[in-house]
Amino acid sequence: MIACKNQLWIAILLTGICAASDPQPKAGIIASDAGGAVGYQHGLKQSRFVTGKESQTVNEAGWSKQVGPEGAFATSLHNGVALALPNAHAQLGRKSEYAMDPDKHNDEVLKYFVTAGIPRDQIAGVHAMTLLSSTGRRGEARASTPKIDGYISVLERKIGDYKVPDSVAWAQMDKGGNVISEGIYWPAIPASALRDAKHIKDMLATKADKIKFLVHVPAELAPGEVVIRHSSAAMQQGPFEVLASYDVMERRTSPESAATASARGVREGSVIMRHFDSDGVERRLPQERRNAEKDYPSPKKTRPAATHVQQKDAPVDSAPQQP
Amino acid sequence: MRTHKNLCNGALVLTVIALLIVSVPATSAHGQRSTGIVVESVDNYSVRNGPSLSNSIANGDGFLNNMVFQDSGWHLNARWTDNLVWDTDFIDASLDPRGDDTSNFDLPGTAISYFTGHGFCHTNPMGDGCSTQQSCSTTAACTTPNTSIGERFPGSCRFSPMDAPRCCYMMDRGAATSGSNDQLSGIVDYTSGPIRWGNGGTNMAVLDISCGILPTFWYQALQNANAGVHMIATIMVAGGDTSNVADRGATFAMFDQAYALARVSTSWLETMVFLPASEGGSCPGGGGGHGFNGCGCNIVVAMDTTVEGAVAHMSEDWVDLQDDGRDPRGNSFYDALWQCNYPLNSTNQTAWELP
Repeated sequence: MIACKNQLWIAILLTGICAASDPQPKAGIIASDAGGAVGYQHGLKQSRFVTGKESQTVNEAGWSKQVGPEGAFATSLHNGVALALPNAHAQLGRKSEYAMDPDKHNDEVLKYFVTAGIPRDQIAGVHAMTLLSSTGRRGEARASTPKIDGYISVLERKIGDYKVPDSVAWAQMDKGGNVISEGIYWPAIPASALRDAKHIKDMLATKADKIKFLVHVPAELAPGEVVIRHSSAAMQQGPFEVLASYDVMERRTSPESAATASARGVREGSVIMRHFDSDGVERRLPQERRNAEKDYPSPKKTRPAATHVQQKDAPVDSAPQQP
Repeated sequence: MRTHKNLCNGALVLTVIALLIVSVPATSAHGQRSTGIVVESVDNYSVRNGPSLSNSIANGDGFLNNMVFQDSGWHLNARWTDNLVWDTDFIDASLDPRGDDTSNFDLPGTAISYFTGHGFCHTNPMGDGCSTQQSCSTTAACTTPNTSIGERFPGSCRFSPMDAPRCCYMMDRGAATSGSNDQLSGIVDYTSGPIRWGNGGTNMAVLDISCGILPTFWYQALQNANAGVHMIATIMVAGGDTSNVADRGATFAMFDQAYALARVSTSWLETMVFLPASEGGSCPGGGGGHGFNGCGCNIVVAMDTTVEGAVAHMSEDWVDLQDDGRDPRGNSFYDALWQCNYPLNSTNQTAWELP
């Protein structure tokens, strides 16, 4: 199968003959309009990711890719999101213990991205995630002790007073400071979004305006936060959208579940973030508006032959749901 | 069907030709390839008295949109939403005649089956196994499961950034449907129920739900369902709950677009990084969000007849995943990988339980 993989890689390289008919986003600072905030486009030259010898440029499925034996550095031609990923069967992709602590990993990744070109004044902070693994077999009395394989450090974005939660830059590094994998989406933010954010902030600062603004926000929701929201990295179709939002978290749980959670002091319930624009009107982000029903209409579903036939209006067996 | 912009058609033609040339020996050596996608998404839980969700359909359709488009190499096998998602879709008919998984979630020819909706966390019928609230300093002290509600051995002196050490026991895990033809009260009990995935059907099951697994029972929770799937990806809550986000599925699929020779398992783990850090509550000590209201992890579990076999599934790329010749022959060994939204120091290997 390894041999087959090599053949596949060579096959993909062959497609490089027809590469680069689409312009790849230019790496570096992305300009914004006057009063807006610049963005950052990551590129292979700025990256510490290694694709390997004789890598080639390939354009496919809306992405421009530098593909080599060790992995690929891919840039979406739609929105500029950059992903560097190791080949599943290459050395780089294998588990590698990372001896340093998460804080040191955070420091390294922060320095790396600032050196690459992310504006320092747009970085609100950096936090770490932990990669773990465990193997075992049936019949073990206890699960094997998990092993920490490494960390991913994630940069948070802020423009002035406002978080930009849909922007992200993250990397996993090995002991030598080389990038194992990374992902960057840091688009420019137009001035209008920042103006709207300030408008919401000003409204919330005075009692009369606050009441006026919050009239559309359900009273039972906890206070929210003024942020800049935009199309997510994964939106690989449709125009880029950005808005200033008063984001409010809603917790949805059944009464039974909530009571149990409350009695035991645990945080129960699925949460959903709701967004209210500068007019106080609730909005859905483009990624939240997806619905493929038009492209894939649900056909009439047939019951399995062995099931009893249920009358249309007959009561359905019912049990209260918990998230 | 959606058409992707910016396609370099010439490159794609060459790619297809090249892949066909090299895939012939692979196919003959390893069997058939499955390239189908199944998506089942539930927002409307009115049949089950709620609470309903807002982002499941957008989430499932995001996965579908980023997987299935012109020349992507994947195709749609089934898409069901809301009350057309039935608990029978997940049930193996050979174990329960009411089941019809081979026409739905475990449809032959499917590579990835994705369910997004509710799971169960803290209350009946499937709690978190910690009902006794017995504080502990060692797992050896956890000897009294509340069997009346389904708790059983093994036990674990489990802790998390949100929970002090207390005795927790193994308990079934499940997904929740709200279908117009549910036969099992909308409870898809994949730990002990009549669920077998991958026996001629899908190669990967994704359970985008609350509390798909609870530590430290990643093997026990999924062994039953693992009947030939290369891997099962889900959510492991370590304190708090899953957030119903719209972008988990689309982000996961984006990794395939970017590089089909990257690991599928790692793609699921790294999916969480792209989800906003501020959506969901914080995790004490740093972290939180990224698809969780509190502390949690994206997890993938693979099983096979040997530990090497299980580990090999974890190394599969998106092309390998299609290969039915790679289907595991058993489930007696496992490999689990997960990524948590909070930092654990590498000098502290206990992570979940006090030994």
